[in-house]
Amino acid sequence: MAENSLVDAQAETTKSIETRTDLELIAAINSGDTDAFEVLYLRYRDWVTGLACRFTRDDDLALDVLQETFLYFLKKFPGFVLTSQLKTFLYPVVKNLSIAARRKAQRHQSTESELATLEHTPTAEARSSSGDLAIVLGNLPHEQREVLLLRFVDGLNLNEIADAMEIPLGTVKSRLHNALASLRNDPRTKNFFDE
Amino acid sequence: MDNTDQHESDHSLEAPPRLVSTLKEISRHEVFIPRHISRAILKTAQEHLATRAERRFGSIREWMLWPALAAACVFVACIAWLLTTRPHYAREDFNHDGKVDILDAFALARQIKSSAPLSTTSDINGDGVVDGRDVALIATHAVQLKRDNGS
Repeated sequence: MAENSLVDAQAETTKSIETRTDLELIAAINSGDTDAFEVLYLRYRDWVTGLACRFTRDDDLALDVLQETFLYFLKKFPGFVLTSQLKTFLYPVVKNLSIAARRKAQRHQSTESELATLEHTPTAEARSSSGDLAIVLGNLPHEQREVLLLRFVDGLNLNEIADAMEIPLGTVKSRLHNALASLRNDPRTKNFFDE
Repeated sequence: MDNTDQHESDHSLEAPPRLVSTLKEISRHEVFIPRHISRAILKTAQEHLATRAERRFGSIREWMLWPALAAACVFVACIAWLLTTRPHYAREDFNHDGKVDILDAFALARQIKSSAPLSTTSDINGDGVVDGRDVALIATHAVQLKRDNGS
């Protein structure tokens, strides 16, 4: 059993350093290559889980979302055409599945606005060096916070954010501008801009 | 430089490196993904992709069946047409050039001279023997035809 795990881990390591691009992997999956799907899965599973956790604030729900996201993605094959970044494609899927997962769990009110308040509400453990930033971030409007995190945490560019959130580019710019302005003007986070 | 590039370089949309690293730090929440979940996803992927490939192959086979049948029908029709439209030559037209003339008489004479077996169809006058009289009959016939054509 332990030997199997070791073999699995080695296979995972080999696949995680696979150098093919997402586009090349998708072409391979379209022709029935399951190894290529595994490579993509290993490449994006942590990001998907992290994003789902950001939305659901629940590890178990995040894992459910992870499975559903990849099953949804899988059903697109064969014939899937990637027109932008894979993150841009996966983002709305994860978001919608997170909303659905929360709704199913019936732990809280299941509207998106409720989800927004749950996303990044500052937690007790955040009250350390970065605690102030977490608090200010938690007080930002959901739309601004989402754009800010997509830009600086997930590393999407402005066009990709616009695609992922299905909003105009100008709206992305203004939301990001306002989010940064709020952080700059808040005495608790002003020091980040004093460099 | 397009709109986006302009905006990317806009200072108001940039964040200081320390802010970015702190944002990453507070957003980082690593969820342990149990191996059985990964296995379940990958097993489903394997099954799905295998099924789709099989279905695709199956549908290709099904799709190819009809053209193959159509091609077979066309082939049979062509063969039948060739057989039914095979040119019929007159019994006297030995060289099969579509006309009975002196050359057919020569052809029959050559056949009689050679030791090759003669077909019963070469017995033009119906006397049971293929000989010079048959050649003469063809020659007469050829001459007669010429005269007919000329009139």
